[in-house]
Amino acid sequence: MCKVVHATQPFLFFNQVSPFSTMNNTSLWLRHRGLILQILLLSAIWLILSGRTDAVYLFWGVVSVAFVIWLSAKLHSIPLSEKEPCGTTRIIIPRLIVYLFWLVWQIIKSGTYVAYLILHPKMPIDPMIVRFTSKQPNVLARVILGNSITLTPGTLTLDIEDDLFTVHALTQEVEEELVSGDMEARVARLYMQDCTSEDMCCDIELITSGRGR
Amino acid sequence: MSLLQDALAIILVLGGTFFMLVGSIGINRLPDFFTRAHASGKVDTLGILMFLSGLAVFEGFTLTSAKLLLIIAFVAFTSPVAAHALARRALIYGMKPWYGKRKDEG
Repeated sequence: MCKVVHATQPFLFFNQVSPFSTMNNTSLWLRHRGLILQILLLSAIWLILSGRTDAVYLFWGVVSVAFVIWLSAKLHSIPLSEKEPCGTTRIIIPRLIVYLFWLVWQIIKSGTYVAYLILHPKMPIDPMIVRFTSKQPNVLARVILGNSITLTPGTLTLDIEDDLFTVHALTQEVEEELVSGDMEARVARLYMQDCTSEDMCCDIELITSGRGR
Repeated sequence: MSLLQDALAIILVLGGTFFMLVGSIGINRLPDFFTRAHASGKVDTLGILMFLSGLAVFEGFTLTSAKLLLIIAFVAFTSPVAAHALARRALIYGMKPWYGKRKDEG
């Protein structure tokens, strides 16, 4: 049981610098966007967790935020995998926000779908393992995709090796939805200008019986 | 307003407990490790999220509900990672997935 779908078009814009990237745009916001957002988020977390606005607490908050920023700046130079630094391309923030809302909707759908499968008297599950290749722009996009696959209905990421994703799917329908490449394209669009869902998911291999491995 | 808030909180908390119950039933009913990871990783996540957001709605706009929202965000990000880590370890360890009765006979 193996169907192989080749991508209709190779990835031409894979390493290309998009207009949202930093190269030709030297404004302060774009260059230090990650740092500014990090400071804002960490301060918000500190304020929520402490809930006090006395000078002493604010002082220790500033110290903690600075310490965490320093630590993560040291971490940032360490590549996540071989020869591949973490943030080569910038994420597009408006798309990230839309994506997060879409993800919440997916969590609700996924929970109700699996709950329906569990409570169904005959339990109509047909589990299988799907392997496919999805060329994501960088390591972080792969992590986001793996996490999103786990959150969408009936699929669970088992392993990610380079571009090869191994996914456990509960039923045939969710497998078809997965290999349609819709979500892969959504994740890639967080970093790139545009891409079609046909290009994002290729070399699909289904393992539906014990002899397949 | 308060009535609506309470009603919404009750609905969310009841829904959350329902999904957590279904998740536990699923862990017992489903046939193998990987399908059980689906139950614990998804249904339970949704249950906990609904439960906590019900509590946040019950609190209203206070610091406590902000803390609850923080917990919600962390649970939403970490729970699928935990499910993935368990399932990946099981696959590498060599655990055979269950592919359905039909195909085992054929």
